[in-house]
Amino acid sequence: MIDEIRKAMASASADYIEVRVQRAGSSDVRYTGKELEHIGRRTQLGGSVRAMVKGGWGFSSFNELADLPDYVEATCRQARLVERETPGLAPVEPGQATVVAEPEVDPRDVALEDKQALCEAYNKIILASPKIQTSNVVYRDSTIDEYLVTSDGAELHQETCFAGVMVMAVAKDGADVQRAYDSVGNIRGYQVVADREAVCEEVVRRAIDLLSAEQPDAGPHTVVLDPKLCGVFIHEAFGHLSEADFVYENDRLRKIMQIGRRFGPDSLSICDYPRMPGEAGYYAYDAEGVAGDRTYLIRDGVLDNRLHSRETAKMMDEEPTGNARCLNYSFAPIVRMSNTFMEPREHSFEELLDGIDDGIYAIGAIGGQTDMEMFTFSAEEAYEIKNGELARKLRDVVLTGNVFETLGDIEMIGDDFEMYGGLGGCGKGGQMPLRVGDGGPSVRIKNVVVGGQ
Amino acid sequence: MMNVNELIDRILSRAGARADAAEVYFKSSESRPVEFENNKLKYIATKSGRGVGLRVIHNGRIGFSSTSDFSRLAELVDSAMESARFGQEARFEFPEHCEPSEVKVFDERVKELDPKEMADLGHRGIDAILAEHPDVQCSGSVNASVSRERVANTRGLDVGYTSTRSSISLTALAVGDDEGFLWVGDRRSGADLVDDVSPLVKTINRDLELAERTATLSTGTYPAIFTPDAMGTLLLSISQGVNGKMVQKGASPLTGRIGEQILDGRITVVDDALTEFGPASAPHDTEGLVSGRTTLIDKGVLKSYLFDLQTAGMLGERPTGNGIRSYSSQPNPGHNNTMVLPGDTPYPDMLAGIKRGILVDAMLGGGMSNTLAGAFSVNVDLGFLIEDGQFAGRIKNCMIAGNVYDLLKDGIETIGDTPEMKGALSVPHFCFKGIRLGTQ
Repeated sequence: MIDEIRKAMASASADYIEVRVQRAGSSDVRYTGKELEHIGRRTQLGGSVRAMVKGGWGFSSFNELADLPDYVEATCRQARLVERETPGLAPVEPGQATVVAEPEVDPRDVALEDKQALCEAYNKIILASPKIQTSNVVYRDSTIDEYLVTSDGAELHQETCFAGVMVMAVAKDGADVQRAYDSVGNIRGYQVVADREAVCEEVVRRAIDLLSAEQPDAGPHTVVLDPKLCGVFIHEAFGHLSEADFVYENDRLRKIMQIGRRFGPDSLSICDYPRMPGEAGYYAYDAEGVAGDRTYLIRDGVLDNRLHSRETAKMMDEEPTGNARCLNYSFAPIVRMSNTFMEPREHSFEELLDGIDDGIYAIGAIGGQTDMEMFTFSAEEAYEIKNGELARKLRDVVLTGNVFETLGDIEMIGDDFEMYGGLGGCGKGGQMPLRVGDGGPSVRIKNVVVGGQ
Repeated sequence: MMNVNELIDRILSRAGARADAAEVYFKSSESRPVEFENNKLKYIATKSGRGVGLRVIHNGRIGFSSTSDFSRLAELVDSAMESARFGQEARFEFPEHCEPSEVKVFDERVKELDPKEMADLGHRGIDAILAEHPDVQCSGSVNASVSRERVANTRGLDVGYTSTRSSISLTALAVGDDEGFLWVGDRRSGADLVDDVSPLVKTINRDLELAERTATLSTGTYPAIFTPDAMGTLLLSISQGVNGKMVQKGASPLTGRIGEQILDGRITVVDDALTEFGPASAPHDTEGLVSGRTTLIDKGVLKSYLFDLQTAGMLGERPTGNGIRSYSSQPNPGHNNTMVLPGDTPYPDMLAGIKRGILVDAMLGGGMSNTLAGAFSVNVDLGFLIEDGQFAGRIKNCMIAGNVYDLLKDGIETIGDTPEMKGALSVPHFCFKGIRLGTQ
């Protein structure tokens, strides 16, 4: 395949050409309520060409691989129309490797009926409770075989194999419906979706408990986030702002995001690490053929580095970090996170709660969003904290913060640590859901605004 | 390469020989986005994609598979047959015939639009914003696409159509001296040629100006105007609520409430596939059922849900022609164009009626709380304080929260008389009596 791609690129002329070919296969099982709504396999085959001429970009995606030479030609023509003067791309050691997926149990070796039986068993546990109105159990595995060839020497064949399952319980009382869910998914293999009966029971309990939970009081609170919500908080509060494609052409933002600027306390360090073994955001080489590495976004409270593509690195005169990613062959790579986390510190959970007279302990994450300055993140469930102790149960807890204030309001960082993946993912520029890992320890932050009564 | 129509016929005959009934859904599209970043043209792209979904009914059960790899058609049929061994019990039959509705969804001008013209359009918009606000950074895209779809089944149905879609979106980012960020944006789309940037420029320039001042508010309850964009976030709950699938599972709070007064008597909502050049208009749905108009809520009374074939079959209801899917998924009930009919209050009167309140235009975190139950809790990304009917500065770092069903039943002050089409949703401004706002 690599030779075929090289041949198709041979006669084209551009400052940079990148060709990607992906063959993908996936299987899905979905129960909604009693019904098995979907089961089956899918395949996909497609490719894309990206070309740069004097800073202007052309891009094409397609399914007819036989026409690859024509697409290369047409993409170079598009790039020539753009006329955008930039310094080009940062030089890198072009990746040349074959990366094989190494799932412990390969989902392709598991029969479709076994996947169905697993989901059915989880679904039965959820529906067994009379207070549960309906359920959702979604299983998905996907294997992607990708070839990447660039005009400056990258030749990569990378395979990834993802498997995950999401279970959801919907409890209903009159017109009140409450949902609780759990989602696990990463590249470790099929075994991660097995033996989750206890999780299903837990999800049922949480959904039912939410029916009697109360709404929080609107306004600022001291909050303690669990590791999962901490991950989403970091992702939204700082991860996106670290993506250099937001800053690189804006002088004002470059000044604001100057390396060395303080954002949080000395105890705060935030990393992005594509090669974190087994995690949902894992990759060895990014979509431009650059090896992924550990990047400190914040180290000891201070802005240390940011996430780059080759273009943003060149423009800002910094080192590429291997963070150009695309959702699939039909999208051009943009700067993205991989596995993003806050480093743990020394405080126990009891210490985090201690001294909070009136606060909120927020657990799990439904999602989050950012406009780069302000951000929101929503908890699956929560408890009031009264005089250092957990008190009444809360629901609909959505928190908001401001990146220039909230990181500085971090009071204490816990000693626990957990990474999360799952079937969901990150969205940016219409590319969603991109598999990412988020995580961290439990963390205590003051003055976080909560929406509510 | 074999002609696509021959290919569909071949899949259908192969699958038909093995299954009791089979259906092929084919979709291809070519879109040509031109993208701007930081005031400059960055990308000219062409994205072509196509694929087929094969649905079979065998021994009373549904099987499904899909592919974009046309060299693996034997595998496609095998996978669909394998899936039918466990699949859901079919509660419908494929339709035998369809007389598609007359609706305009194709505009030759969109097909003919070339990248140079699209780039010019974007540049014109950005230049007009920069002329008034030289310090902002604009991004955006101009897109034109042509799609072809075809549904054919072994009971004789064979329909399809070609449609176009064009869109313009522009966003401006202003970074203040206080390091605060301000995003304002606007977009237009349709099946016909969208080639007037002036309404987008007007909105963006107006909002940039209004937000130059900032205002602070304390935690409390305030009267609030929601713009058509902001209403889109609230209406998510209603669109989930009338989705036949949610109703069939009993998860929708609207389950079993047909005929009941669920919202304010001034609210009428119609699902409309027949809007001329509407972004979600179609002569038939993805299962080959004729498209039309379905009144969902009539003067506040719940009238209908939206169904695909299977969901309607399970509930013993008539399908509404709302089967929506991509080639790689089975149909699900979904919306065409959603039309919220206008009320009788001109927007200037609505604004003038507010002594001290807020206007909400854009929110962060919409859809990330318990939307099914109607709960919302969002950051006000773009919102303004209103004092004595006048804008008095941008409000920031605050959250608004409430319940959509409660708000639309008992909370409405007035409804605007001029709906705006944003994406596939047409809705006017709404003014609510009181919204709970939390702030530092």
